[in-house]
Amino acid sequence: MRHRRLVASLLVGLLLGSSQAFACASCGSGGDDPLILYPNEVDKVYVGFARATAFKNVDADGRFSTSGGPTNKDTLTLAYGHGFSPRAFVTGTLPWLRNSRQEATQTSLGDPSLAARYALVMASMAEPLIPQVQILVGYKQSMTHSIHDSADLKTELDVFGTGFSEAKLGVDMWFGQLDWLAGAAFNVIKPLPHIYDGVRYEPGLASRSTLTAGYVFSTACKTTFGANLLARGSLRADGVVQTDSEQLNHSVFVTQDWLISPVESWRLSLSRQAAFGANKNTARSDGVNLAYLRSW
Amino acid sequence: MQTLLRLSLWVFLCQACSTHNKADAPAVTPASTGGVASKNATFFLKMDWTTGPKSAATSAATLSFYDANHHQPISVDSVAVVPWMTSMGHGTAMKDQKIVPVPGQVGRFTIDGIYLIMGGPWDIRVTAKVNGSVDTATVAVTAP
Repeated sequence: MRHRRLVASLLVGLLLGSSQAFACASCGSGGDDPLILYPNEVDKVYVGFARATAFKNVDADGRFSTSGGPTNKDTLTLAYGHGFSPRAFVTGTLPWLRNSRQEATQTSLGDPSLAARYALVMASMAEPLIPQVQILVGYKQSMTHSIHDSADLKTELDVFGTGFSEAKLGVDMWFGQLDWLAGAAFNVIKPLPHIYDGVRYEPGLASRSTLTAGYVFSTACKTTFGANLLARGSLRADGVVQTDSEQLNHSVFVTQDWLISPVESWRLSLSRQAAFGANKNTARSDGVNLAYLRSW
Repeated sequence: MQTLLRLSLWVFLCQACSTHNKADAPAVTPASTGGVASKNATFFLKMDWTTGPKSAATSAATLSFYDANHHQPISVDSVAVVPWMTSMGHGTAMKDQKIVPVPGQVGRFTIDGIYLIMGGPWDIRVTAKVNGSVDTATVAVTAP
């Protein structure tokens, strides 16, 4: 009996240890894939509720100005992931969105997305200074109303997406074997052009860079924080570059993970968009995200 | 009598000088008070905000159309106004817009219900039909 308990404790410890170790730089930051599978996980689900508030527009000159759209944007995100091997997994994500302004609300399914990651370099406790290195690909299909085809541009309550499908390719590096954690991720995002009202719109190529640091307080408690930079090139309309249409957004986040069992965890994230530095043609907002994750 | 003649001559010269000075003074044209030519120089437009410009609220303005060369008021057959945020590539709500000719004034219209959904730089695209030609003038404005 005592022997069994010892083995079980060791197994739990190993599972928790591997879970805290094999995270990634871009997960939990609120902007990239919400669900990451660790090498020991085969199936995993993610249910997250997020609320974004305190919207302010950031104009082409970087000045804050009035944002006339919803005052609250709520997102219920469902994601499922499947691991094919300790190195490779895929995830599918489907958000459900609710926009509110005073008493009025509108809801819609959001843009679904698929992503896949492959670990080029696996982390090892034997060599903690060698990072885990993943390559990632992803695709988001635009399905919801955007500002380009909104039926209510006075409130923007029916604006739930950007209106453009996106493909992305990136790399994610993560030092997760010590108590101090650190990582960096870089994604290139290619929006696909779309025709609205007879005009072919093509947002510029974008990059998203993430720097993350953190600390493991215990096998069940991990805190990470970091910053994102989203930079997007000029918008083209019928091939003509639109003046001053580049986008910049420097955001920050802090994430707290609690492992409540070897297969379950809670994650709380706070974030602020357009939080520091130069920002352009974007929006300031504050976000809170609470998520439950379970693996099998 | 001589005094009267001298006085008359003096008054005449003063009037002549006065007229000459008026002709030399810079004319108060739409261009000198702000305005913009249409893309194909079909007309010259002056847009005066009477309310706003505001964001997430309605604004109002007066549109005055002039001949592109001589800046004389011209008759306009039709007018359409489209606010456009070029830097973000989208427009705004237009269902509350009302464009009404000002009675008794050639080429002058009031426009109410201009709704700029967010703050920032906007292009107000004013398309008008003048003597059978359709042309567009763009007025740049920044909403707070």
